[in-house]
Amino acid sequence: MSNSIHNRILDQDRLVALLKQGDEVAFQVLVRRFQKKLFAIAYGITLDREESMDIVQEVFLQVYTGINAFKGDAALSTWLHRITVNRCLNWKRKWARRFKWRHSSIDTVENERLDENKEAGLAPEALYQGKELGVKIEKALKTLPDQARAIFVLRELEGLSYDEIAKTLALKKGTVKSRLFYARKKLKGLLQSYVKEDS
Amino acid sequence: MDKQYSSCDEQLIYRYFDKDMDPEENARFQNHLGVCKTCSMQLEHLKNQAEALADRINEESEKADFYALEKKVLGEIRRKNRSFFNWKDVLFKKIYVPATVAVAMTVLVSFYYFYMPLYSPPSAIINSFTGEFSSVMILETPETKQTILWINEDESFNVENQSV
Amino acid sequence: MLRINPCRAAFVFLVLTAIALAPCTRAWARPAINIGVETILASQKDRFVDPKLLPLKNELNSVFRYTSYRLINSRQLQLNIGRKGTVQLPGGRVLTIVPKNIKGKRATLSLMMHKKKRNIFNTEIRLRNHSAIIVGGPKYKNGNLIFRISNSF
Repeated sequence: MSNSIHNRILDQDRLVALLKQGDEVAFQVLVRRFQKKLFAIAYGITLDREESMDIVQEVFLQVYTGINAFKGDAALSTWLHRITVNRCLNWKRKWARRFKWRHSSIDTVENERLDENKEAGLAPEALYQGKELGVKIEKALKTLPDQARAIFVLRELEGLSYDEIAKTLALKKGTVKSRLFYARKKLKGLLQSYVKEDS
Repeated sequence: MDKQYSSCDEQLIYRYFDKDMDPEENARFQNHLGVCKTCSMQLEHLKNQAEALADRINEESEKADFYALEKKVLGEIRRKNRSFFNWKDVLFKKIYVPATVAVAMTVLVSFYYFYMPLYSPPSAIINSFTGEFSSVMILETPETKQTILWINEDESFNVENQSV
Repeated sequence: MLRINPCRAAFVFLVLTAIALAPCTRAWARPAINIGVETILASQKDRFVDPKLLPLKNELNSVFRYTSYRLINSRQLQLNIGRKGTVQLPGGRVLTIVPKNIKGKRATLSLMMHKKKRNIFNTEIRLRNHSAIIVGGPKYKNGNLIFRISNSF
């Protein structure tokens, strides 16, 4: 896709108008513009790469078939975030995810990562320390309720304000604040306990 | 010292971190951070946490094949377009319209051949009936709907009959 | 190639039109109704069905339980609208028929049955073309008389 076409479709309103006409190039622009962001949100909630890729694919297909439902009263990104989060919080996925988590240990994941780094010829200790916090955060995130985790991810990763998160998840601002507070407090406690375990 | 910050309220740290303070409150808290190591450390921890999470997810993003995702998604919508268009076209032109015509014709023909005969009117409609009789019955044959007038004559007529 | 004489063609057309319209004109000028009156003696004393009455037997047996049907008399009348026709019936009865009019597929008929100046019944019916009304009931000998009155126009 050439830069000229990409620039022509840069404006959100123009992009939406073209999407509603079924313009394939516009859809390609949409995918390229949002796929990484949506993957990040999906991964932050599901903590599973394959599942996140499936969700992102489903989100784009849903957008394509249901673009006429987009009224333009919110930003396109807000709408996409909402669809992504809803798909992640779908009850079937929740149950499948919990089953998977129950039957796979984070330690296994850690060891796999260590092996990858060894193969790459990197000093394992230093890399392990650098990535230690990220892995521990991921482990701690699994203990949070799904919606709290979604709020935490939207705030920490996407930098959305309380109002934007409230709009995305159709919640009150107060609810967003309280759940985010709860998520951070829990994470803090868990991370401190992981540090104590290690020492 | 401001009473609000005397206990190093965690909520304030989060609000500051999330940029949920008005300019005045923001300035006051920044001053507090200058003198409070606990709050500064907490804030630092929040920043590290956010960065660690972002790094973790970036790590996974780099392993993801977005080119394949794009190809898969575009392939799917192209497939949907083709099948949707054909399905609609075939259904409407080749099935829906002829089916509607066939059903309509069947209904009309059935009505004419089956319902109309079943609903045939009686052979005779009786406008008026008077006379010297003891009783009268008006009947109809079930098959051909022929009207039957059955009269029981007055007894006085029968006395004369017997003599014929 | 066939050559058509215009004059001959016009003549043939006029003749055919006249033939086609003839019944209509005739009906228009003097509407007449063909009326048939069959007198039948129905009884349960024996088993006999007049061959001419076989179709009627099935119809009547669907309503009554007679075992014998005898055709006593059959009369055909051609009556114009408003003209009276009479039929002598067994037992000194007389049936008088007067067509009143024709509307659509039905003819309005006035039927009077009397015996020695006594009126048995007087009815006005609208009878469908090529249909019949069955009038029955008077006792006669060992059975009942049935009159089948039909019309066509």
